[in-house]
Amino acid sequence: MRTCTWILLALFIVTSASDLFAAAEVHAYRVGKVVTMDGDDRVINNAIVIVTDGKITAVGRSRDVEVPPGATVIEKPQLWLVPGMVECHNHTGGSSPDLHDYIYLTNPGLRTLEAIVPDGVEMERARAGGVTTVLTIPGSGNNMSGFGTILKTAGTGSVEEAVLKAPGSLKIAQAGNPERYFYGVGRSFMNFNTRQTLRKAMEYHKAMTAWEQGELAEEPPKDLHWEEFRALFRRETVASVHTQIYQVLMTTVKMVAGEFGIRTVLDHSTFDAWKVARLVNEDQSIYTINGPRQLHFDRTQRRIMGNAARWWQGGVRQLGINTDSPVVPQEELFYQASMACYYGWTPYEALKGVTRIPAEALMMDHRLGSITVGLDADFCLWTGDPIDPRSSCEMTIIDGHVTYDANGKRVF
Amino acid sequence: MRISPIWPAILCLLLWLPTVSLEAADGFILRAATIHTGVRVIEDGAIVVRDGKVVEAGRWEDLAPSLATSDLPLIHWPDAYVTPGWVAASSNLVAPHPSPESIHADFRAADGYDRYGDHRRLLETGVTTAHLSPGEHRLLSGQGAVVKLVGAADQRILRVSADLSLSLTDAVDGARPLLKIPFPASSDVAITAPTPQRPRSRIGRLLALSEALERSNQDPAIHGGLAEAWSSGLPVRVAASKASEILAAISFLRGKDRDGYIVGGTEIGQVAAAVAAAGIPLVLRIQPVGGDVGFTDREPVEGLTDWPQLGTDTLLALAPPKDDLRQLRWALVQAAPHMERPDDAIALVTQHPARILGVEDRVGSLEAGADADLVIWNEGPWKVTAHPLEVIADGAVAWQPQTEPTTVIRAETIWLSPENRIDGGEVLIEQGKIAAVGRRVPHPPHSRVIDAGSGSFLVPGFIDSYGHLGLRGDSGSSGTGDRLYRLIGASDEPEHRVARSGVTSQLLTPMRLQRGAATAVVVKTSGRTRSQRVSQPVSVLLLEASGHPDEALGGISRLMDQGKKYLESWKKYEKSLAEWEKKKAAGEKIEQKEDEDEEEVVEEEGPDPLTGIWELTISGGPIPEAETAKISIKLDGLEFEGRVVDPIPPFPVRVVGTLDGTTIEATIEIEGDVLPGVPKINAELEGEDSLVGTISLLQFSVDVVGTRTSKEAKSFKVERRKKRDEDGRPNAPRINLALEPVRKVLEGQIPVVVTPTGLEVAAKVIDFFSEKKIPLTLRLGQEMRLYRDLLAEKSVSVILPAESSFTIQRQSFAPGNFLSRSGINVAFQSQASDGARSLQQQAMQAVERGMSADAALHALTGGAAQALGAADRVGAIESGLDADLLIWHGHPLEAGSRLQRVFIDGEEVPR
Amino acid sequence: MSRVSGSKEPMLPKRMLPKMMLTPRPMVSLVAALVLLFSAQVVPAGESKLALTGGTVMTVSGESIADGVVLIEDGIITAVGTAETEIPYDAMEVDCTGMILAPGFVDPHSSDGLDIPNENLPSAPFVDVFDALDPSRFFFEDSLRNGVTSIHVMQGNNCVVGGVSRIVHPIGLTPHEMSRQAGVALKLSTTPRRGYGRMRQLAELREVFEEYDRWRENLAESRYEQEADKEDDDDTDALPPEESRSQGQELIRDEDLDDQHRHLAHLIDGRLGAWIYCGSATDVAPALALVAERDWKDRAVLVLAGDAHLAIEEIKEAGIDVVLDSDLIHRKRDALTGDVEETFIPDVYRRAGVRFAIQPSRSGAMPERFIGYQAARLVRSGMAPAAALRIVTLGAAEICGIDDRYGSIEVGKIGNIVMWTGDPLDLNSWVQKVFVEGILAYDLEKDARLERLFPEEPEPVEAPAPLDDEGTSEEGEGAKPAEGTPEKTAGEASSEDGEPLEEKSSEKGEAPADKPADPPKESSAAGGE
Repeated sequence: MRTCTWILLALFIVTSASDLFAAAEVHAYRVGKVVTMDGDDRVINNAIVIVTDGKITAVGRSRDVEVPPGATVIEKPQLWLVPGMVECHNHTGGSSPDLHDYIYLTNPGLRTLEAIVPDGVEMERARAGGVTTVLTIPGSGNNMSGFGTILKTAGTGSVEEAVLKAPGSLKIAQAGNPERYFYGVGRSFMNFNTRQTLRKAMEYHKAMTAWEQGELAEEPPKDLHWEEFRALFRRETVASVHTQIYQVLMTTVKMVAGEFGIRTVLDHSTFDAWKVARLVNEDQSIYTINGPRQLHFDRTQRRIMGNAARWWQGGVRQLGINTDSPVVPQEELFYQASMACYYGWTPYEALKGVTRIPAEALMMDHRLGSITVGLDADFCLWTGDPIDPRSSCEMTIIDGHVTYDANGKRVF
Repeated sequence: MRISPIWPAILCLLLWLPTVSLEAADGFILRAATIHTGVRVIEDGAIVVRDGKVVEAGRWEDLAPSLATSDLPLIHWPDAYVTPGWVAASSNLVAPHPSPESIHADFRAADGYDRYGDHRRLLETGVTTAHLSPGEHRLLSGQGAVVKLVGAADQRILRVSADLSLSLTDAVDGARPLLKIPFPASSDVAITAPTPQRPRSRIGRLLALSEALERSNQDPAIHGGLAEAWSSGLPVRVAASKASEILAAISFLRGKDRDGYIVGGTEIGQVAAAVAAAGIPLVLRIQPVGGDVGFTDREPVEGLTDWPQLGTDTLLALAPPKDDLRQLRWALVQAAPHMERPDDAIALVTQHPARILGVEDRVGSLEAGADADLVIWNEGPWKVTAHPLEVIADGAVAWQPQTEPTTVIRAETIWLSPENRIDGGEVLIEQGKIAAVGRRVPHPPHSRVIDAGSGSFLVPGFIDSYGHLGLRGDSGSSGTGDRLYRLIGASDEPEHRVARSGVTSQLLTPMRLQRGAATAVVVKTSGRTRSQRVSQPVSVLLLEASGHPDEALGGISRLMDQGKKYLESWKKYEKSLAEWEKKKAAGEKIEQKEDEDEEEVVEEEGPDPLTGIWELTISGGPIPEAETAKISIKLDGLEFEGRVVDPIPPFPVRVVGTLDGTTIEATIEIEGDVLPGVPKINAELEGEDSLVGTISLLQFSVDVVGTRTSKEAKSFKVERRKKRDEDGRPNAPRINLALEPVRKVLEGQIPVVVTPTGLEVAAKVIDFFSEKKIPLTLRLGQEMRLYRDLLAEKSVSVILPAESSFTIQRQSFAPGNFLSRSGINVAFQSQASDGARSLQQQAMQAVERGMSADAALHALTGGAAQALGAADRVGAIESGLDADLLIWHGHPLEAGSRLQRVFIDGEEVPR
Repeated sequence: MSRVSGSKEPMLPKRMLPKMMLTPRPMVSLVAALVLLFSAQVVPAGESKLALTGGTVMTVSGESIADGVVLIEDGIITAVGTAETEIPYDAMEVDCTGMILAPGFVDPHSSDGLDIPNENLPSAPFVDVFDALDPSRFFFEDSLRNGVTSIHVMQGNNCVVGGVSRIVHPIGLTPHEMSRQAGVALKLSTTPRRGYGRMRQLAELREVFEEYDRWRENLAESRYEQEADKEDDDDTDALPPEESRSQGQELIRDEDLDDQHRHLAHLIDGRLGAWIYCGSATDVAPALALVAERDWKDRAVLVLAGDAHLAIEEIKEAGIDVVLDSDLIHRKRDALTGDVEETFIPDVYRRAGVRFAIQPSRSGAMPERFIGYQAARLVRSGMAPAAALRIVTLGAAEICGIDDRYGSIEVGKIGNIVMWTGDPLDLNSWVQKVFVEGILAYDLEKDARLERLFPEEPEPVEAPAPLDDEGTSEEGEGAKPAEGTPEKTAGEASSEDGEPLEEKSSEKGEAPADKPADPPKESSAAGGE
């Protein structure tokens, strides 16, 4: 009987609780246009998106989708609903003094996870600019400055709640800044050192795998330096490589992606790096995330070139955009995409380049990057095409919660 | 097997260059006034050098017999002070190493030395060997080395590892910890804590060293392989300045029982006894005097005030202020006064440092077996004005001054004139001229200093007012158009004998005068070329007047009249030239007068004087015997070109030059750089088919005589001369060689020397020339007795006869005394063909006959110069005059005096 | 392939005017740019058969052949002969009539193709120029233009130990495509690097090898112990350390070498050459001492600069080859007199009989940039022209140890051949075509950067739009100076690139190839696009 009572009590609590929150759980967004960025590249006019428990449960034209009873209907018939933007290269998710630790040229044991500040001013600006997910990575002062963290910009709750994936990527900077290391280093030593570090990590991974598969009698000693690399070599996570000019990008493709078989995201990939397009196309797992510099002035040819457009012309299709926030403020991610279009790219591809492409690059497309049933309800309502600088983000929804509403307090 | 007579001859001229001979031979004998071998002092010493090593050293008189047959060249520096090449026991040649470790044994100072470096700037201070330090900025900074500053690159380093260099000075304090940046730069590599470095305090210095030695025993790799370096038994060089540091250094060396020495020693005075007791060698770094100490709290340094008494058993060497090698001699200058004898100081920069550095078997001495590194100083190097005259390293000249050689002669008495002399004075000679006279004269760097010593008496060179030395037996007559000076070449044995007797100049006169007139030239009795020996080609006009008094002057008068006309044509030319130049400068147009525009034809048709085959004979100068060659010459206009045709030279030899009247000026062009310069030919056509002249190269010259053996009939055109050039510039009158001397006389440039014979002729002559205001010198015999008043009144100089007295009407009469007492300028003459060696004797006889010694001396020097119109060049010790000087011991005209040394144009006439 | 066959057209005179008129200018430059940058993929090696006929073949190794034939198959020269030489039916023939065929120059020592060479890390024996190679360097393009086809890329004049070098061809997209031989030599330097004195430089150099010796001794000891453990033999394991070390030396295998010591081990066991930089004469003696001590005589090369020629006696005695700095004249001022004495450095080595190679200058607009000019100066100083040509081809290859493949036109060697309009050492000669491994790697007619140097027509009077004017006059970038040498750019990091693809398509529409009317206007319009 007592058991019965307990069960009843529990049932009551559960049902009443669900009743209590039922109204908040289901939202129906009725909007003028949904740019889904899904596999079919659907654009749905006069559409409804249903969000249940922070997940997208239905997407379709208004007439095709039934709004569940009890759902809160948000009527925004003039606005566009666009997937929340994903930033692949962000340094503002943590506290700024923790950007770097300059002790070594390669610091594989470091993680930005230790420094995450889930709700800062920068995060608020991010979501006001339509950015719902960022990969916060360490700086590029060393060849390898640690592992990054993917986090939502919702700005609520604890670190654990905010973090989506940790480690989210390994930060590698093959050149461009690490030259300033103690004794000053050239390309050949930096690459030697990076290769040696990766090789040690790989040996560790191989030894651990061998033990896991029963090929070794004794478990190798755990080494925190290399533990995080295992996911990398299993291709469960990626390497974000700060890589810019031809020579460096070429080395990234040949060494990080080629020699070590790591899923690689080419961050920046600016200047004349697009000349390596042929190499990049040889490995379809490589993502090229361009920015923040959108143009390149070729001094021998004396001509201005759009980086993204050149990549695109070179046949690279897995092409996205980043800001390197705070180099460019996080909320200007869309504006970087606009600039890419100004210098020759196409707006739709540019929009994909800040939503689905980065999500795929970070291997998070099962959660983010498009308006697809089952994915996180991360999207924004825009007054028009986000690539058009005249458009503004009116409302940002992360995990189904409205985290920014321009009607309440407009940031931009 | 003679290839070419001329060119080997000219090449052999080169062997005369002293430097060349020094390097060409495999050794030399050096004789000098003083030789300090580093161990002993040898007065009038000699050292024998062979194959870069000293073979023998000793007194010249001891060595001379055995060296008489030596094949080695003798170099004689009669006034020089010779020391071994100096050894600097400390130097800043190598910068301290920049590595941060405070104890590291593997920094080798030898590595920092530029083996090919050109250190002649240091050699000129006398230093030939130096210690190199890895620095005194670390507790143990590495290994010192000893190097030479000159020589073949692989021979320069004497000791690669000479010492272990320790420092106990304040410079070693506060060494920062060593941070080792992780390498490879990956975070799996441990970061080690910074290695603390020692010393942390003054009292920790010795402890830190001992600790480091202990640790190195366990790990041979640490501190740059300190264990091996320490066990190799290298001497330990300890830098220590303050008294406490010096005591610590002694304690360390004693405690570890190591050989070593101390360098620095600012406060040695306080602990000299301890150093002396320990017997530890000391390299004393002399502090710079004064200097701006700025606003630091350092006490001002006052140079060397307190000389440490270390006793004779302790080695002491000098290091220059701030280890600047250029100041090492300055350090010696400061140290010398503290020595018993100034010579003793030389060991502090030669023998002692060599022993301290362990290189005494090679350098630091000039005893048998040592390297022939030596410095020839102009005087004792402890004197402020001392400078090296030459630095020799390994038997070869390593440094020579670039400046013109200068000489300072220091004598007890400098005789200026009968009335004036300087007691204890100096004469500075620059470029063959007297540059300064006084009690103290400037000593330019690297000047030779000749200290004539006590009793020395410096007088001008004697002048023979009438002689025939140089005619070489030519007894022919000579006229005013002949140029006697062309007979002069390099001085030879007879001239040398005369020069050694103190006669430095001679009026060279022909044996006979053509038509009572000729020219004569003042010639130096020593010199390598004609131009050195003759400064004025025509010095005086010689005339003879004889016969009846009314007619005796006829010839002279005619000559003077011709000369006057000739002079006027020149004056006219000069005047019109001056006008023309003035107009030209003013830009005026010069009108051509019709009559002047006419050609003055001086065309002569005659045989081409030059074209053809000439056989030349070359002799004199350094050529041992006469050589002949045949040259084919072709004249084209005034330019000619020739080639040596027999014997055929090894390389084509061209002679290119010009013919101006009878004067040939040419250069010899030889393919390939076989000669150090371009030989020049100066010759004169003498009548048909013969020429006389010289070939000169550098300072050498040889005489050349040529005859034409065949000629091509080729017309010789003399250009038609116009009075004016096309631009209106007046042309000069034709030069008349026969009247040129007369013109000079009339212009007052040169005097006439007249030999009157016959009664009353002398009076006529005096009248004739004094009327014309022409300077006159007479050669008179006993008839002078009649004209004393006239001579005095007209200021006529008289060349005294050879006889020292005449007896007229039973009365003895001495010409010298007779004239000079009346204030008449007199001079002596030898009339000798083989030289005027008796001139001094003549003067002494005149003194014997009553002339004052000073007056007679004046007659030998200034009086003669005045009589010959050469007082602006010779005859006195005066600034600006030729440095023809005699060093006598005692007054030249007093009994027992000796002529010691003779200088002509500043160059000593060798014995 | 089609491009190669296209050059069968009759040869143009010396100052040739490329037949580019029929093709619109942007097309030409696009193709040229592609050839320059992507030529490695244009014609893959290994499939080509190429016959160069009609030209004068300067074989360097032997006599020159007038009207000769060179056959290249799969990148290797398979026949060199007279006009009678049989040409396979499937070989593409290139008519070289009136031209001179010479082996490509060999640049014996260059760090120009590198993006930030290692000049900072003093002792880095473990690095490889591979990691710093930058294929986009203008240097490589310029090398082709100047007739250089093999480059010994080496870094580290400013190091103690500067890493290992390799032989590189100047075409390819990546270092993998460019590299032809890895691990040629290790670079050492006895000249103090910046901030070092000689003492520190040499102390660190000694330390590198002492450290290596210690490491190797320890390795040998542990190897011996390993083997002893394996054998499980009680007799052997009790050896004293010295003996186990010496016995263990034999047991060291390649896999025991670690990354940091591998190159040093290879240097010591003879797999790598020792190239030692001596910036002055006094640095030569330590270098020679090291060579003697380590017995590297047969594989050591001195890279010399400054007044190093003063040490000629020592160098000659050691019998070591040298590579000279690009500055071939040394000026020395006398310490006392101030007189300046000039020495033409190669003369010193030639007289002494020391084998030497020369390098082109690395910077500036001086003619020393051309290795051909450097060789021409040797002729001026009295060397026979053939010998001077040999210095920059076979001679350099011998010193680099690659004369089995490079440096002359011989059967069995790599088909790196340059077609010149005249004598290769004549500055009036131009590189007409360059074949690298039998692939047409450069063609003067397609060289967009030289277009303005040989204008087809008078330039339009009106100045074209600023962007179109590719720097014919102002500044250094891409400018063509007046004195008639191609492209004296200041070597900016920027690289060549293709014309954008979309321009290609748009040009097709706007400026059809069959409309040759008014070409100047067309070209300016096209450029302003």
